[in-house]
Amino acid sequence: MTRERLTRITALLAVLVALVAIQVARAQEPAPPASDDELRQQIADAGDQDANDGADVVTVFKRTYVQVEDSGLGHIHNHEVLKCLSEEGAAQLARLRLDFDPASNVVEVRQLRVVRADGSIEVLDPAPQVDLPQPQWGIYWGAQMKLVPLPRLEVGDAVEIRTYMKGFLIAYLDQMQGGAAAGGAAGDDSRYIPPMRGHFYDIVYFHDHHPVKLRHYTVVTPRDKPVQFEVYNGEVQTHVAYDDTSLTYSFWRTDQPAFHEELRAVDFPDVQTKVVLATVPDWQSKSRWFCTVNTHQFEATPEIRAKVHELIADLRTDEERIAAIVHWSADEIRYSGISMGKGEGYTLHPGSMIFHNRSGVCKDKAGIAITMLRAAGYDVWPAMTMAGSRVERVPADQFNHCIVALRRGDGSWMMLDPTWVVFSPELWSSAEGEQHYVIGTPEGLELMQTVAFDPDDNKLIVRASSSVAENGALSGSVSFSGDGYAEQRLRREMVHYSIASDRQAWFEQAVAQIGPGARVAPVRVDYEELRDVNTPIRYDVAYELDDFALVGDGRIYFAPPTSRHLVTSGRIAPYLDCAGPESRTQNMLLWAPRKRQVTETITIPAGYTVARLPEDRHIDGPIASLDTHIAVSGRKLVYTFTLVIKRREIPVDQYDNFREVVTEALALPDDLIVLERR
Amino acid sequence: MNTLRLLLISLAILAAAPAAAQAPDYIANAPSADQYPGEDGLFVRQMIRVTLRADGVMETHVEESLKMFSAHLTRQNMFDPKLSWNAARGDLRVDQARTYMVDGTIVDAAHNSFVPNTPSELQWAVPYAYQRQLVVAHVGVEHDATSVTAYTVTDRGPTGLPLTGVIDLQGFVPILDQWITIEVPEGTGLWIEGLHCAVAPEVTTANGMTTYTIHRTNVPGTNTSELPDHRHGLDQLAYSVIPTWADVVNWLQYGVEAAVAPDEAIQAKTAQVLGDASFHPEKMALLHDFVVSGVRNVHWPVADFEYAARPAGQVLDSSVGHALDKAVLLTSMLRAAGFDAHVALASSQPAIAEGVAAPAQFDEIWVRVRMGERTKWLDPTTSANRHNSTTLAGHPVLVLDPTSAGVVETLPQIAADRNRGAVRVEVQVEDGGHELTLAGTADVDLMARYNPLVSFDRTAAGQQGVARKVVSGFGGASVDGVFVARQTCQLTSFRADFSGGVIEVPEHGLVQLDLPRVPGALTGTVVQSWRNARTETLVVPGGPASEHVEVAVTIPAGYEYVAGPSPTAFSNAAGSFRRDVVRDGADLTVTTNLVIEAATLSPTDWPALRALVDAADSLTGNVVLIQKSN
Repeated sequence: MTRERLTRITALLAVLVALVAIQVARAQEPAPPASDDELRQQIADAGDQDANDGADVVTVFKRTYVQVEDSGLGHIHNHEVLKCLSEEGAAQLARLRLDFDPASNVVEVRQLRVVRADGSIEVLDPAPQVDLPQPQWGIYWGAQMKLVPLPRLEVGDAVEIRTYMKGFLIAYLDQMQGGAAAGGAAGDDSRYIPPMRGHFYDIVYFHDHHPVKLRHYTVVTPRDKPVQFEVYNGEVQTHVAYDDTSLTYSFWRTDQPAFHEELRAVDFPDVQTKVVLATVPDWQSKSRWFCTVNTHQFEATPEIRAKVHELIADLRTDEERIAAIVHWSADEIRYSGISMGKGEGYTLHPGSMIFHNRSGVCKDKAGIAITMLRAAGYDVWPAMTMAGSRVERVPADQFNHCIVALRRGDGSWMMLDPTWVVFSPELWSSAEGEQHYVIGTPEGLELMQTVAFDPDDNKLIVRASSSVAENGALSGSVSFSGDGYAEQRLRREMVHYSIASDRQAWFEQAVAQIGPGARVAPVRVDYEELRDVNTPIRYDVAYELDDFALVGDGRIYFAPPTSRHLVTSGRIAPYLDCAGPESRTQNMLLWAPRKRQVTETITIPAGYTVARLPEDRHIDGPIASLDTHIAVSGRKLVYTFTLVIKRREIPVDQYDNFREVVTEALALPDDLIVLERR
Repeated sequence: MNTLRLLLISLAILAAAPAAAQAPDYIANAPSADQYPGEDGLFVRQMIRVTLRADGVMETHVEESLKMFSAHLTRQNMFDPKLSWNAARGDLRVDQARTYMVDGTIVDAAHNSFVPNTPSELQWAVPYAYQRQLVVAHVGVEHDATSVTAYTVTDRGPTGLPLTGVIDLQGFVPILDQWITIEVPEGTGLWIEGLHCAVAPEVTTANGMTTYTIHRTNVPGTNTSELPDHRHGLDQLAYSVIPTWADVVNWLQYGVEAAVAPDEAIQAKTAQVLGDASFHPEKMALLHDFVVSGVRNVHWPVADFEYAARPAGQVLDSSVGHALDKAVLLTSMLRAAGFDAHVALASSQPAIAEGVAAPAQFDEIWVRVRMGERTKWLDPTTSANRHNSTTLAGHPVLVLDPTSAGVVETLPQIAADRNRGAVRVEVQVEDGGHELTLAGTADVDLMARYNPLVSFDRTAAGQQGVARKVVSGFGGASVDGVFVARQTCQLTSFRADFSGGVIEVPEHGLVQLDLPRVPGALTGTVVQSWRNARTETLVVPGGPASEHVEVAVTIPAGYEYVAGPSPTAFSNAAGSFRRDVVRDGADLTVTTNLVIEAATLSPTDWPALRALVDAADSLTGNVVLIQKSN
């Protein structure tokens, strides 16, 4: 993009800001308490536990004031008052926790006071605070937290805290609760300046897990640094103003009830009211920046080139070569991230470092894949994405995950994710459909979205054969296999979620769905076969069950064994456990569209005929469908059912269809086959 | 900061050290994955050395060499071990963090592999900030590689604390070569005993030190998925220089009694919490509830805090506490209210190595309250409805009561007939054309482990909830009224009237009536009865118990009984099961009795318990089929 074009856009944005300022009617902007008496009144007005739906804590107000420098460096002043509504609330307010990343920001407690229920005010010494490492798992970048102990609060007491923070938080770090290692010279602000120098972004949320009476946010930027912003998932009152030197944007919302996440709800950024704001003009700029900061990370060493040669020398097609490299990056680079110091969090580790360490987080797995694919002659680039929620149009940093983009000869892109295809036949996980991403390239690219997957891409296949005996006993076999995401989950059930000596129990638990007391023959599971993602896996299970069918008066009553679903783990069939509530207010996220395809042949005892079969079901809606059928052929019954969840996300207005299908599927065992002695 | 500096210095020295030229023989010649089918990895060598020096300084040195066979180990973060230590007392030194890769490359962890961490359990605990943790993130890990982690924790000076502790001798990864060494000054008594295993240490004396060495080879991996908390029931080693449990009581009660003494703040808070309550059980429940929910739990082994109890007033003011601190606070408040209360150590396992006075064998801290002849046990971290006197039945406790004999007491097991759940339901089924309507009464008696309402509660909300669970299986029936016969911490007994149950009658006219089980029943889910076999001893949840269910149904006119449970009776090593079915015209009564006699079961006896639980869970035993007449 030329400098002239940039200037034009900036001017345009400034006009837009002015227009917004004119058009937005200035609502009564709540002022901060001017005195301690006003503060006491606001605390009193926040009410008690009954007035706050039984909450233990209420935020009386939280005000944030951000002053942005030309460099993009932000000075963030927070002023917050939390009121204790119960003894449980006092336990929750045992201490305050302020997260920071010593490499990119600093936080100070400027004032700490307790306003007692009787109106008295105690000024606390913030000195007993301690700086400790944050709890870390998988990402070991040395993120810190400041813990500020509070004295025991009584019901009706409130704590007032004023903090100052300088610097920036990388969205990726914020999501992952990680942080960068120490870097930069003490007393030097350079380390606090955002890596995309000169730019500022923020995402402001207005809810909390307890009620919030007022959330107010103001950001002041230099006059030539207009902010794009947009409000999502609700309404926020807004005021925009400017003078000769600065632009001021204020956002506030009052009387927010506590936010409660519903079962398997989409991630909170897709639900909670938020303002996304950024000074970055467009995604192309972000794309170019991401490309630039990672320019030197993908140099292949002789050892890496040798490994690439070893992996692809005998392969004939591009698809095979790409798959070999991506799967090596997925399965041989252990998920464990240590810090490389400066640049941690937004730059990928050098390929040579990852190859040596055999460990890293998503961006490092992506980094080694890019290094190796480039060494193999492919045109590949790093990309940022947001797994689990939307990336909004405003180009603020909204990413929590790093992936690989391969440009084909025709210019189209092939997305690769070595982090999410561990023990998977896929190269791009079908749990990442309809997901936003930005590829870092020299020319700069727009925000894009991956295509939606088809349920057929993620098929759990259950094939069974069983025989019912005259005394009600059952014997049979069942096989489990899958495609796409379902295949990966079946492998990971054995590798990640079972210790090797306990794998048999997984099959015993599945068959126990048919009926308690089943005897399950040892199931062969070979670890090398689990590692070989190029060859589909199938688990074959043989079993016997003495007490299965009801027998009485010349008749035998039973449900098709596979109608009991067998595989019910939330990791494979999350849809089975979340159709209970009659309605929802939040969309549901199942990550991938899914299909469960069941075929079972049931042999009935000699001398019996079928007196009754379960009714066929045919439910088809916009989001889910269920089809069952059973047919008789001599002494064989052939039972099939197909359950389809058509989208990864279940919108609230299509939940009824989802619930109907799942409820009906769970009720299948209630519809009995009746055999009658001839 | 000194600790951190020392640590960084040691790490810098470590990082600068040149890697050895080749893998040592024990690693180079270690077995391969082929030789350990069905295992995720192998501890090629595990060495733990605990030393009490003559000057009173203690030192623990650990060296573990772990070979990776499957990616399950990486999923469990076993190559990023988190080393915990008490920084107020000593320093941690990492001696080696090295990986021997398959191609012979030797990779030492660099400075950025050593990452200070705060366990998530301690993120609330400003008062416990001295409990530190260091992550050692190994590099170069791959299939068939072996990573060595070696570290030493050393007291900065004599602490005056006794040498005592518990070492896990087993995990889910087998150990090829295991060395446990405990060294004490010559003449110092040391007691050692294995729990769930026999150990015979070799004892040698040299240079004024006596060394106890336990060498085990080919220690099998344990299927930890069978164990509660994936840990209880593993082979352990208890060791202690403390001669008797009375000495333990003397040691611990000194600090605890000082901490318990109620100050003005405790007195005031106690009065506030009690309000105008005057009934002793209510007062006790109010104080217990306050400590459970009004003080944040810090779940961390209290042994790591050297049993140092903070004064009750401090615990209250900080609003956080580990189990001992919360027990101190609860005891203090109870005493302020006039109760006879004492802190007690308790074991969540039914057995400890009683011959070794090692308090770390007690992994829970409770409070014992005496009211005349009656004794109550309160867990200060959990509500009384979840953890109560029943929970401790059959478990060892040690009360820190200076007037007691200072002995470990195993609380009496509750007999199966006193640990009982019983439900008797009479159901009237009416023909409503396209649906059947269900109404009736349910008599519920829930004792001991089955009693879900142990905590004092003046409302009937608890019984309503239990009643709903019992009757909702009858076509979603709702509870019309609950008549409480008895509500104590021993027994919840009530009658519930219900109505409004609806079962749609399909066109084919075949209708299923599901029969209930006792609330809190010992189901297949509770004991993992899907397991065809077990390799570890099972501690039966709740101990010996009995369940009785009687359902009387009157089949409506226009319907006929077509199938239902069959009479069954059998007994075995675990207990007995009996189901009686009586049909008298339209009246059907199904009575089920399940008795579990065993408190623990060996893997050999597991099929017996499985048979009992499966019989109670049986598909055919819990449903009645009726058919609409043509």
